[in-house]
Amino acid sequence: MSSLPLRSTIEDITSLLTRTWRKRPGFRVSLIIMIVLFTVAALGPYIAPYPRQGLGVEIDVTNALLPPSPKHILGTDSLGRDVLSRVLFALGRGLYQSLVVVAVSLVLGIVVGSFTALAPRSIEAVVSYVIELLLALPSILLAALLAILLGGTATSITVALIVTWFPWYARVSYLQARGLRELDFVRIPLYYGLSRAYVVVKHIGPNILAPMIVEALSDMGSVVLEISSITFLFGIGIGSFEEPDLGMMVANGLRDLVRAPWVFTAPAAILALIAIVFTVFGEAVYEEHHPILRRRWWLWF
Amino acid sequence: MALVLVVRSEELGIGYEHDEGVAWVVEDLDLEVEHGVVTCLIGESGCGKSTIGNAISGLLPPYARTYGRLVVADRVVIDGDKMNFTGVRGKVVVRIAQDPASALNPYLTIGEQLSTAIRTHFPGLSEHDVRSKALELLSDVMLGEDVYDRYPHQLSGGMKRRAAIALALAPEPEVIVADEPTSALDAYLKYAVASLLKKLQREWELTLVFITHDVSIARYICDQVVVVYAGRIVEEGASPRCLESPSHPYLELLLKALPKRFSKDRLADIPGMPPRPGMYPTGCKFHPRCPYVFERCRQEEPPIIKAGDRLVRCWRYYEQSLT
Repeated sequence: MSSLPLRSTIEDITSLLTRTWRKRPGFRVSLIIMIVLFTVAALGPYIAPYPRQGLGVEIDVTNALLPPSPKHILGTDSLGRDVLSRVLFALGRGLYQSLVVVAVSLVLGIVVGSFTALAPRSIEAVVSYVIELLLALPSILLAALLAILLGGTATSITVALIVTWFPWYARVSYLQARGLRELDFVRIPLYYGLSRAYVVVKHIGPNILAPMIVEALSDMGSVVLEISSITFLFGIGIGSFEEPDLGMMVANGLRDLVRAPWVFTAPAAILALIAIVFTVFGEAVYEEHHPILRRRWWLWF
Repeated sequence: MALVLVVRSEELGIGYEHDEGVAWVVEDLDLEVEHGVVTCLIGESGCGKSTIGNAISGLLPPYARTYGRLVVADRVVIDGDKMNFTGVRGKVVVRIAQDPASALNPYLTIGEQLSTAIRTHFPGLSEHDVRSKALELLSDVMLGEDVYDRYPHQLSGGMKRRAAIALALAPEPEVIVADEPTSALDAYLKYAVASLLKKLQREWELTLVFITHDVSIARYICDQVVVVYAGRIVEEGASPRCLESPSHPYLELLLKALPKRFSKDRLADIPGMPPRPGMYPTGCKFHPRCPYVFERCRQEEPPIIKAGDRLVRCWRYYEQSLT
């Protein structure tokens, strides 16, 4: 029974994606690069030439800062680790982390948003204020705070990002659910005494899921960037200098920028690629979903 | 046909809570609806027609306040400030929504929505029986079998309306409250939907409470006419005849406002606006707009007066009723 409403959501999303694919060359290119990136990220630990160096467990100071060569295609960093292996490991972790952040925030946001819209007025007001409060919180500062509290691991960054990302989804789904709650197919089951959970799962959820997924798709790039800027600024903590992470690699590479530019260039280029590709992808989907925004660059002038 | 009262209200009052108190929308309503009768509630927008319909169908919002009594199918559903619609709402009495687009979930096919309703009211039916029952309901409202797999956005306005009617019929109710089922349809479809309701009412021996502001539709379909103004019954007649010869000035003016064929006269209108709930005038609620107003109308509210074959709430018939 519950699989049936999901069917039309999936149809919605696939038809949106195929439509965008047909119309937008930029979307095609970015989707292909994204698939390649995800495949590389998934295979990263298996194809990395020096997996132990990639993980950061093995250090070989005698090989520090070697320029690119057949043996180390992207050179080595200041601790003698193979940059290619580091990048491959870091890519997988970054993408995985951003997927977790987006998925968890999406579910959390939809649940919080739709229940808030159906809650009694006092609870609705309180939750809305809390959501707005969380929206006002800069994620980088919160991540720094949590890094202190939770001991500065990748988990603390993920948690910090979820806490600052889900309010956006909660807000959007709250507004959409507010529009739905005045409609008879939402109102009358509630008067009939059916539980809020049933109404959310059966009626509100399917109706807001598709637009919410579109929001999430167009947000993924920003999450990767956000994670990287946090690790660039703060690192993942004191004890995890070995941990492969794009932001940290850029930060560490900066120190040897003049002597060994390759240490800095490789992760930075990958980050730039992720940012551009995800943004093009997200924008294409988003504009296809809201055609009125197609010409919004006009507003810049 | 045995005279069984399906809906009976005694001194019923319904109001909505707001910041400064309660705005009473419907006051002292004495309404009786017999089994198997089409009752039309006629009145302008904001007269409390829909509120009466929602009360009968048990769909008053949580902030509604009540007094008096309302009995639906031998169950006291409203007693004082207490409401208890359990076992009545959605089983004995259903409402056909004013806006079918909002009654149907856009992300579910018509078939899925019908089956959900059937499964809820007839647990234990096999999937096959549920489906055949849903198809039967669709053919009852004259929709094809292909509608079963369609989404609401794939249906036209009239088809959506029919699908909403089928959905309302799914629990096999006794009373149907049709809240402006003909709004936003063109003239031809209006009569098609009205005659469909009339046909279903005869075949299923339903009691139909038909809420409308369209007097011509009311004339076409009703057995009993109830004219509502400012939350009160101002005229009640047991036959559509009172639509031919109105007694209350309000109904008279309403009928005058209908366009007539071959008439070159300017279309008449009723000056002013219906009063807002909570701001009803003293005396007769209609006196500010009444062409026959005299002193007593401004002072006292007239009681319901029996005048000939109908009940009227107007001082003009008071003398007559005494003799």
